Amino acid sequence: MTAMHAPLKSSDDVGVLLQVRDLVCSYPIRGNRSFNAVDGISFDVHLGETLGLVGESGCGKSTTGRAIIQLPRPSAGSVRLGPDDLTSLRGDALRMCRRQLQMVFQDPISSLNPRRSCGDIVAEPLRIAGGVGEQQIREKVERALETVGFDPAVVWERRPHQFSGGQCQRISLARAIVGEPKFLICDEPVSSLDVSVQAQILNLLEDMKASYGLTMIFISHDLGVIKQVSDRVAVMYLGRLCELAPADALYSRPRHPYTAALLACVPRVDRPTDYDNDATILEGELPSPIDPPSGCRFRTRCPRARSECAQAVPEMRELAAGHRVACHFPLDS
Amino acid sequence: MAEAVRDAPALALEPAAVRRRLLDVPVLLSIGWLTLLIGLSIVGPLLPIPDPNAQDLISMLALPGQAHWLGADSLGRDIFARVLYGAQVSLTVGLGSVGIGLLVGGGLGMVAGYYRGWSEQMVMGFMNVLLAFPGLILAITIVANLGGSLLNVTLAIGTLFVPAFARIARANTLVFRRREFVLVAQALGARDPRILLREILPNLVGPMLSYSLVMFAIAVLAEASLGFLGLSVPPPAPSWGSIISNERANLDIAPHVIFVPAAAMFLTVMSLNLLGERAQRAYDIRVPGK
Amino acid sequence: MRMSADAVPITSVRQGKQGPPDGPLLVVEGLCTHLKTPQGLARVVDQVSFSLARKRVLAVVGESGSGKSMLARSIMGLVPEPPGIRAGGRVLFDGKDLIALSEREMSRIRGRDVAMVFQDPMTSLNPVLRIGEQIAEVVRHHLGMDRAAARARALELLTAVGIPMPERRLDEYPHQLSGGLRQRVVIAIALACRPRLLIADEPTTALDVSIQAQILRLLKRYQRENEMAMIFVSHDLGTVAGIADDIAVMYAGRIVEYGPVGQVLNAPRMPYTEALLRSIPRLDAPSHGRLDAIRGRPPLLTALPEGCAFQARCPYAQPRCATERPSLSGAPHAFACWFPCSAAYARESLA
Repeated sequence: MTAMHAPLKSSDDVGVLLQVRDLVCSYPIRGNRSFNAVDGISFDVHLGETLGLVGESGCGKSTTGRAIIQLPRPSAGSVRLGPDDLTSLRGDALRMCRRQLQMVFQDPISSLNPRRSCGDIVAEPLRIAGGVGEQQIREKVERALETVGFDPAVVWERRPHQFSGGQCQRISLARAIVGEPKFLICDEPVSSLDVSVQAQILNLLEDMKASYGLTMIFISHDLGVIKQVSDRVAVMYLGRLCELAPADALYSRPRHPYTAALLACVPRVDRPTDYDNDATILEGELPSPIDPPSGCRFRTRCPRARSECAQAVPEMRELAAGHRVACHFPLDS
Repeated sequence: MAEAVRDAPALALEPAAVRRRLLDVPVLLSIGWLTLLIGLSIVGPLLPIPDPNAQDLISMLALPGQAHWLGADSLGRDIFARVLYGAQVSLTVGLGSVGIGLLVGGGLGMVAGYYRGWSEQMVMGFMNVLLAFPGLILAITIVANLGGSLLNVTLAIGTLFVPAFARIARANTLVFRRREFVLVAQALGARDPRILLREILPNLVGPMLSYSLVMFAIAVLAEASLGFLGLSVPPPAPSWGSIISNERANLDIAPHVIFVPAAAMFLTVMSLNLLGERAQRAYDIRVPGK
Repeated sequence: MRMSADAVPITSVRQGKQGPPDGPLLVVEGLCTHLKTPQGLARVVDQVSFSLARKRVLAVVGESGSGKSMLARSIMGLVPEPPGIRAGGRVLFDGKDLIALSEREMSRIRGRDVAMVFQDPMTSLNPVLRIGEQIAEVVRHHLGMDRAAARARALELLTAVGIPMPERRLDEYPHQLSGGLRQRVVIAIALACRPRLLIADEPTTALDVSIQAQILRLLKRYQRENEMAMIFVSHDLGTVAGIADDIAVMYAGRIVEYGPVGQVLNAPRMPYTEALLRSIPRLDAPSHGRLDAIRGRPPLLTALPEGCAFQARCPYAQPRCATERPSLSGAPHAFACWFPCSAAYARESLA
């Protein structure tokens, strides 16, 4: 099936599957201090949609992904998957919920146990969950392996080191969907892959999403990849959300200066950057997350910053349908 | 369904060439010697060899010949038989002490490395205390107090090994527990015992195996040292160390009496060390590299 | 804190002995590098030839396993032997064959006339030496400066690459700097002796997109002001589009397309280049589209097929492609293909 999948409408009448409210992830550092890698973010993920989470290093996007699966638990805030608040669940109740929520990581080699066979790895979620007979496990694993493009008979006994990076990532994907979860979090799944392999994996993800009816969060630093897979996109900077909007709107009419700057910096084949004359290149270094700027954290690099930006933290405001921005002086206002 | 990407056959990373490289002459000789030693120790008592404790004062310090294949010692006892029974002692002590080290030390180290926090502090603190004692003196103290016997010697040397194995197990556990496949297992809802057993432990086998072989060699040497001091199995039971100790005085008249147990010890230790090193290399080849 | 890009002009062009001013700076002829692997002999660089004029930027692009990094290292003579084997070819730098030089002579050229910048700034710098020491070491070794002069030069360089508070940074250790700043330090070390050729192996891949842009601008500016030639190795076609004059596309150890960057990227003739361009997600494409993925995987370098290496994955392959290997031909836009994409077709299919 090669037809384009129709983009999902992100209007509020579609059910919300994941609700994140005021998420804070705090890490201790030397001198009895701590810093917030994620500093109070809130967003929803609607049933069947893909939310892209984009930002540069230190923005907290990976931390957010891990906080959602409670590994480690966030320091504050709530994460609701359907009716359950994951932050308040413990022990077996949390384990039951975990089966609905799977995660795929960046490093394909490190995600697989080098001492176990491929079939064994993919069967593990079913074995942990229990309640499924050996024959059924075999069938489900074979189906999962076929979905990701493998011939089960050929690859079942092989070890991870016998596969390439892209193939390892397929095994991770097979493992993620074998238990038929409702929600998938992908943390930079294609970042360490070559461009041609990346394209294969992204196509595979789209197919899997359609056939398993998955809702996804896709975390990446690559704006092109995010645009490819996402219905809505959230931009993060230094632990806070800057902008959250449908993908088309965000890319064509960004309202937050950081989003605009980021889009301008992306190297593009069709519009090569003129490095000698381009004035839109973002200056300055990322501020230290341990001692972030007061008020709006982007103000130290923002070309539109004014004195108000240092005094008050901008709140997320809805500027257009489904388009929320946290900025005192958003673009086009 | 996904596009029909039937991947090409996966890279064959373990061709016969690699195996041939691992099984070269020194390795085969080592395996041969150890097999011979183990085989003889097991079936020894069934073979038609003289009683190792039977004294035959007529053949005192006899050279190798018909009656005594490798000669006789100062009391006329057959050296071949004594060295063979001594091998039983060395191998038993080696196996037992390494076993204790692996189970107790390895187990504690793995748990300490996985859970970290106060359990790690307690376990490693205790290990540091043990390590602070001079090794051989600790062994001597234990055996001297409990009395010389196969079991006590094994226990003593095993106790010495516990901290060493604990450190190796902990270091390796720390490496693997940060890998993402452990995080995935946790995210799947696996309980800690399952993760330790099915995710961490299989990865520890490689490093621990090669370490065990080397420690086996050390155990053989340690037992010989204790035997030399008269603190191993009580006489007249033979141990390689005690044979050497007893026959020290006759070194210039009948060197062959000391030579045989010394040679046996030398070959055993070297074989174990070689196999340990090769096991390490073999394991590295299979681990995913660049 | 905002750093103005044009605050500090980089000092003047190096004077010195140069070859014929109108000849190319670097000529690579038939360069071959092989690697001994357990699976056999891998031809990681296979008969690569190109020339680079002064002041030009050549981008070498390809995916992993294409041989682009090995090519860069082969030019610098940094291929570890074993398992690497120099299997032939010449590298003429200003008329002198670098392959024929002894290691001692080569080490005098490295860092001084030809410098290299690597991908990972974390491991490129020695973690136990201060930044100032690492830069000073280069100028003391190659230019014979004394301590005070070397320190002054280090300060000058740090300022030139746009590092804020350079006096303080001189005495700091690499771990105290961010990734972007570290890469600037690495570049400062590379430019310390004003080399005539800079080889940059994926210098911005490990950096954030906003920092990437700053580093690329720095490199471009320095290259222009000092009339330095640059070989820029990358897998990212977007990056090279902005920075390069010419581009060489590598596949399975060989150059399969070569030419001015605008021509190659807008009207590729080699199907591999075209397929690569198609498989990159575009910012202006609608979401959930289908990417034109290249099927299959690159061939094993130990078992290269007889004909064209790309034949098994090429949508336009014909029987001839499996038996006869096409050679690189054409000027200024060269390609190695029996049935190249037509220019018109390429333009419309990429739109």
